[in-house]
Amino acid sequence: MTVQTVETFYGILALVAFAIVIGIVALRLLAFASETAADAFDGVTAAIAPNALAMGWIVAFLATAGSLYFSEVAHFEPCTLCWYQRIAMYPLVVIFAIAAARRETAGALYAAGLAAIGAVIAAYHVALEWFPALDSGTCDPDNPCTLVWFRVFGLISLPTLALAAFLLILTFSLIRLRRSS
Amino acid sequence: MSQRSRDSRRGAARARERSATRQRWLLPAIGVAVIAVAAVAAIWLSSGSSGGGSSTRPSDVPSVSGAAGQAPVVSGSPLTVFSSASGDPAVGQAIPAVTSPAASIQLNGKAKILLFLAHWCPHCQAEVPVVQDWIDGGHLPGDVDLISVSSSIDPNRPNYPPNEWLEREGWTSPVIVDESGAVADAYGLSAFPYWVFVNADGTVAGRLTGELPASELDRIVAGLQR
Repeated sequence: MTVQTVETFYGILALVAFAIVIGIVALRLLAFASETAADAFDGVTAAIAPNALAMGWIVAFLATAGSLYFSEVAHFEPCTLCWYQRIAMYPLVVIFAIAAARRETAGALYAAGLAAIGAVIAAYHVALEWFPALDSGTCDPDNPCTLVWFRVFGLISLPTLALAAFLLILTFSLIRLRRSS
Repeated sequence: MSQRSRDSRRGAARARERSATRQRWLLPAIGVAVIAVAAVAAIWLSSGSSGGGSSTRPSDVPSVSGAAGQAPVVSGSPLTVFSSASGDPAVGQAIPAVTSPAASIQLNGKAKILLFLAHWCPHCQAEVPVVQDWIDGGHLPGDVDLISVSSSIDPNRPNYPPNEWLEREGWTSPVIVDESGAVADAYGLSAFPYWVFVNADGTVAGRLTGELPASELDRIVAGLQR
């Protein structure tokens, strides 16, 4: 198993995650206009809600495993922004595991808080990769956040993977919170 | 209530339960399937492509030091670490001399532009074509040398090796290969891209970091003591 295979694996998962998030958000928006879309949205969220905590755990677990693989096995050194995203991602594995085992919807609320913060940092990091001029305009010799380790399909970089995971976790958490209230 | 209707109600409840159980397992099953398909697709996609990778892997390319020969030799007192162009204490100081097989920084009566580059730094990647266009446009005076220093070389970082990158960009200036970082240290590098402008008498005229537009280079070169 090469590093490139792992990059591609996560790249595909990120595309799937973005597709799910965009699909659900689009359905929610269409629900304002169309009865059919509203029914479809209800159906989808009703199916996801009971499994949301377990599915959130799977996403957080895969993201954490990938993060550790890329830093410890592939030796891609995490920069400051990477660390902030890790701080938001790693606890989600534990929160979702406990919440799913105890079927506690409150877990989704704690997860949503962390995932929202993580998503904002990841989005900024992705923007920085495409527009390095957003920061000081120079590269820190030691560990710059502007360094792009890889881009799967010319698109999906490390913080893009994080962004996909955070958005999917946020989506699952919000669906769980919405259906239980 | 009749026996029959109770039976049918119990049957309906059992059916609902069965369908609920099926539904409970449907999504996780889809999730596992998606992950498995992604794994298979990743193995299939990356086994077929050799050049499809997003960055060159260190194992594919020869070491830079092998091609460059000996490490550069630095002599003279080092400059302080650069923090700001205003009130820079290094201005007026004599630069350290550097000798390397590929290029050297010596007191030869010519003013100099020293440009420190890191192959992985996107700001350097953006600046190199700007500088090359500036040179190609005839803006570099004949009595000013532009010497580049390829520093912070790391095979694990993207866009390695630096000599291939500079070749790709049609870089015409001499390159000092600073694998150990000794040259960067001696010149007080704090960020990439890093500029040291040197007067003809070998003293520092000014130091800057970041991308500089061609017009700024024109302005600075005009101010050099030549």
